[in-house]
Amino acid sequence: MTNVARRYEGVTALDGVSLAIPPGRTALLGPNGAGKSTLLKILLGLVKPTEGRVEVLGHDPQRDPLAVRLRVGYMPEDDAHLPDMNAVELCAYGAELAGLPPAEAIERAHAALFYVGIDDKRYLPVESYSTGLRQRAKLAAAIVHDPDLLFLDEPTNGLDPQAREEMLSLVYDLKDRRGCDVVLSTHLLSDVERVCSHVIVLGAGKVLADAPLKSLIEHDDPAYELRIKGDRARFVEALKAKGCALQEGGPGPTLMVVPPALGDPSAIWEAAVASDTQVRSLVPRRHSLDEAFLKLLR
Amino acid sequence: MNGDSVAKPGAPTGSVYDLSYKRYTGGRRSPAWRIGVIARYALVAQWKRRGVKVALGLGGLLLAGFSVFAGAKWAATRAFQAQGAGALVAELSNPNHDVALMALRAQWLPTVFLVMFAGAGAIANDLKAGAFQFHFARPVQVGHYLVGRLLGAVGWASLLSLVTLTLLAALRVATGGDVAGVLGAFAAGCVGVLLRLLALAGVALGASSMTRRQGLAQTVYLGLVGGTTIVATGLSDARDGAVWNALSVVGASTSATATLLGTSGLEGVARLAPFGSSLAWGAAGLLLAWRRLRGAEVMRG
Repeated sequence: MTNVARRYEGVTALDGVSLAIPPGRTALLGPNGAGKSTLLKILLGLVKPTEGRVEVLGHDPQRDPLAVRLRVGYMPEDDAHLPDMNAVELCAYGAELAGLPPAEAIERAHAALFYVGIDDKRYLPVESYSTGLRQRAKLAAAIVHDPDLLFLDEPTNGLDPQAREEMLSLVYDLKDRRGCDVVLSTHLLSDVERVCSHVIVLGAGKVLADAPLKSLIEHDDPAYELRIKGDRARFVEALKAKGCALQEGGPGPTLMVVPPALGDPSAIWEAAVASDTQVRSLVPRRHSLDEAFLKLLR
Repeated sequence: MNGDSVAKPGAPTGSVYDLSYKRYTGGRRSPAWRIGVIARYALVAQWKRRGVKVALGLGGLLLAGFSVFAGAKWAATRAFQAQGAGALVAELSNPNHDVALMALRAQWLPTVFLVMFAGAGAIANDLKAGAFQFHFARPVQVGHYLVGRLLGAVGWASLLSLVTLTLLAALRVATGGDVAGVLGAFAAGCVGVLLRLLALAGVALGASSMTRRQGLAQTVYLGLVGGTTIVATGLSDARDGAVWNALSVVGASTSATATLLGTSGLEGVARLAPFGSSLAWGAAGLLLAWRRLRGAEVMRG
């Protein structure tokens, strides 16, 4: 999408957003009101941008929304079922709406429900399901017509740890083995770290970051996290003697050390030898995604 | 259940059951099919509701009662005619007309309730359950959805009305009615059924689109149907003008059928009033629903 804006009366939901979602599992991150849902609805052709140009899988969602929605699956954050329907009917209905013949729709409904782990409860009305089962049913309904691109809006909301792990496994598997690209809209950073390879951060309607996850969590200052066994004070003295700088922030017995030569920890090893200290671990310091996210929002 | 775990390093470790879920390579049907899909699934879902079954049962009882009454009446007419009183009978009433008018009068109450159960809660329930997102995130346009819901709202009621019309027509033929005359009445009855269902379903969907509460939508629908019938009947009696019957959401269709059969007593341009009224009720309700759907929150984002 290029320079996309969406304004409501007195509110700017999106402001000059330009981005290209790469293949794979992409996270759409942002606090409440950042414009994530509006962005997804623009991509689906449900909301018309005030300005800008959008293209999804080679189609303009405003000019040809049906062609986009035929190839896209959407799992909304809120409940999205039909009264008096069980999970099999719901999924078969979704498949038929996407153009599948009835027999194929029923077959794929069962396959999709099996895939998401709903077995013996599939004939119960969806409104009687627990939160976890509802989330699974929504995912099954979103993938039943075999989309090439899947939009998931807060898929792990309200799930217990085991159910969350299974949902994330499905998200992972959808790309890894089914070839379906995934856009995961969430505010749960740990979910993003588990399954996504690319991150788009939205804040106040603008793109704050659009980068591979790896580049966001890699630290730009060449510090190392050290855990040692031995005399800490003596080791610190030896480090300083070798020209190393120490930083605040290491948890507990961990030391944050910046060697004099960028990317070369040999001065640390020399300090350890000189102070007769055992180095138990030495790893390049990494940002957590939480740190990167908060830094972007500031 | 056979499951296997995602095995790549760093991947989540939950089970994924993947025996049969695979890419779909078959064909897809044209978008016009979506209307039929929406209507068919609505009818299946409605069949699970007790109210629909009760209304259909009531319709069945009325059908049986009216069939017995009509059969007895037409058999008596045949006996009179056999005794040479054919001209008198024809002057008093045309038995063929009964096929259409009796069918409409027999089933007006079950029809009103069937459309109420099927249509007056349809959009309200979808709003409440988040089904708009379900529909419009798929290749479905507002037009598909609305026409599908319209067909779903009238499905059971049209079945009941057409069965009643067909049965009475067959009974009339069996009791000595001329086939051409009965077919003419049957066609007039079909027009009446169509107009009635359009008006009722339009009002039901219009009311349904205004709220998330099914009960409120049904109350508004019943209020409009009942209220217009009371007002139309009152004005018709007070001013001695059959044209006022056209105001009624449910009664206008009977007037239209009577007009087609030449028994409504309407003359000139007034003959168009019941047709125009039924179409206007249906169109107004559907237009209201369409406007609401265009502005529903799923569209606003």
